[in-house]
Amino acid sequence: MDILSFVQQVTERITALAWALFLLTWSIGWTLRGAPLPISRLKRIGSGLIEDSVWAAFWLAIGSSLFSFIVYIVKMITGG
Amino acid sequence: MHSSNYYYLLAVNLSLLSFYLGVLIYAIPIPLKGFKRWGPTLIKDGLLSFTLLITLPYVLKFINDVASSLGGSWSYFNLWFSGSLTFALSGKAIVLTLSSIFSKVPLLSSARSIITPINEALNLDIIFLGGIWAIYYMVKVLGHSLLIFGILLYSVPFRISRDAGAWFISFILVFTIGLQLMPVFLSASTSYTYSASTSPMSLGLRYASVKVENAYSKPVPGSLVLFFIKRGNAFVEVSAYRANGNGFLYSPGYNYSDLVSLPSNVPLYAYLEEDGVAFKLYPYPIEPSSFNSTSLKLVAENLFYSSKGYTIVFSNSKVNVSESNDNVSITAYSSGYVDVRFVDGCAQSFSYKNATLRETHWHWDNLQGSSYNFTLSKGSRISFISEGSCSVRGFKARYVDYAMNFIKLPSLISPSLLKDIILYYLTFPFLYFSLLISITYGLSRLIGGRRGIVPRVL
Repeated sequence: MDILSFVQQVTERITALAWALFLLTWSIGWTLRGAPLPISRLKRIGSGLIEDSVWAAFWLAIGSSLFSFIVYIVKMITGG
Repeated sequence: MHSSNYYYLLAVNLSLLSFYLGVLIYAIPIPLKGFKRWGPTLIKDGLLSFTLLITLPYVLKFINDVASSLGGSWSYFNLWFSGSLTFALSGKAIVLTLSSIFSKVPLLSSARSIITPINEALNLDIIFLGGIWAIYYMVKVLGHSLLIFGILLYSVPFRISRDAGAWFISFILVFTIGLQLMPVFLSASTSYTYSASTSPMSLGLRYASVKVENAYSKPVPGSLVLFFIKRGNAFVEVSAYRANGNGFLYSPGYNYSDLVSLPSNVPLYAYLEEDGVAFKLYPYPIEPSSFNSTSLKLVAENLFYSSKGYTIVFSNSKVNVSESNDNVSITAYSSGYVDVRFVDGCAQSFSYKNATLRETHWHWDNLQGSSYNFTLSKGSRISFISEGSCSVRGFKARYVDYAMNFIKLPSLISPSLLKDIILYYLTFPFLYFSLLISITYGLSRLIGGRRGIVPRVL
């Protein structure tokens, strides 16, 4: 296996892993936030995890569109 | 061994990897701020390096265009470099000769102390020129590979080799434009004049790809093109080039991929010469402003047909010339004359209607042939067969390369020669070089986003 296909494979796995972790983090976040425990620090951590997981899902969802958009803009500007 | 495309792809994939690693870090359910901070950083890095990767070929092209629009080119740099090296080595030879003579003549050995500082300055200059040559080699020959290597380093995730990558990228970009502009900067900064009569510094120098065409926008192969400038009321010839098979001018002794050297600051008057006839080339004159691009098209408006075998058709009135295979037909719309010139044996089977023929002979260099001059009236028709495979040998064109002829060391005579030479070959190149290094440092900081690598020049 050469380094290029290795990097591509790692990227694919990381993408899949990121989707899985998003679900996990989102669930953990809501679990902590919704838990019937009156510890505000725990609830803040829960909110933070939900926020991060939503950002991760956002970047994952628009990632490929964003890269195509950059290519499109560059081609528009340079006329290539 | 992989090609540079492979490394380019690898760099693209590394920037994607950076991006998705950033997303992964965002998604990890570990609420550690220091660790989580890598998320947005990696996403930003991935997007930035991807944008850089996509735009870099265009940036490189843009930079070369900027260099040529400011009057720089690799040919000009080479010319300056060979001039500098010749100067430094000749100076060194003279100094060594004088030094050895002084050491043998009694009572003159103390005079060697005068030579020593000059010798040291020349040593420094030769070392400096060696360094410049190494940089030129890196930028011109290895530039593309180094750039790809720089991008590859730049795209590695977690900013491991980002600074080094930024340095490589900015080095190649800055020196690509900087080295090409070096002679332009030096000429502008010094009052250096090469010869008193035709001062090329005031004429300027630039390299352009020049194509000569006939009235039907077809190339005029094999012709001689002469360029003149005006001094008072007189024309002074500055260069003579020859057109290749596609109509592009070249200078055999000094050929840089169809680029020829021309003055850039004064109007130029161009004439095309073929079979002993000179044609005005339009635009006439060629204004300096038309040099904004590196390519120039010159048109001989009275020349209607030209072949590789030096067969030409020209006229003083409007005629229609059509070709099918080797058969050429001329139709006149008004009175006037049309002249068909050809090397003996290269055109035959003439037939004409409503025209009078007068035959003469011509000599051009060591070519000779016939000229069929037809007096036309409206509706005259002439046709002949031009030998497509006719090859003409023995033509020895006279070439005058503008750059080689005007900017060469033997013509260096001016009252403030030493001062100019020191400025032109030593002080200003050093200054300019330091300037380029500073710009490279600044640019690498800009691209790298953090402090760059502090350069050590000396």
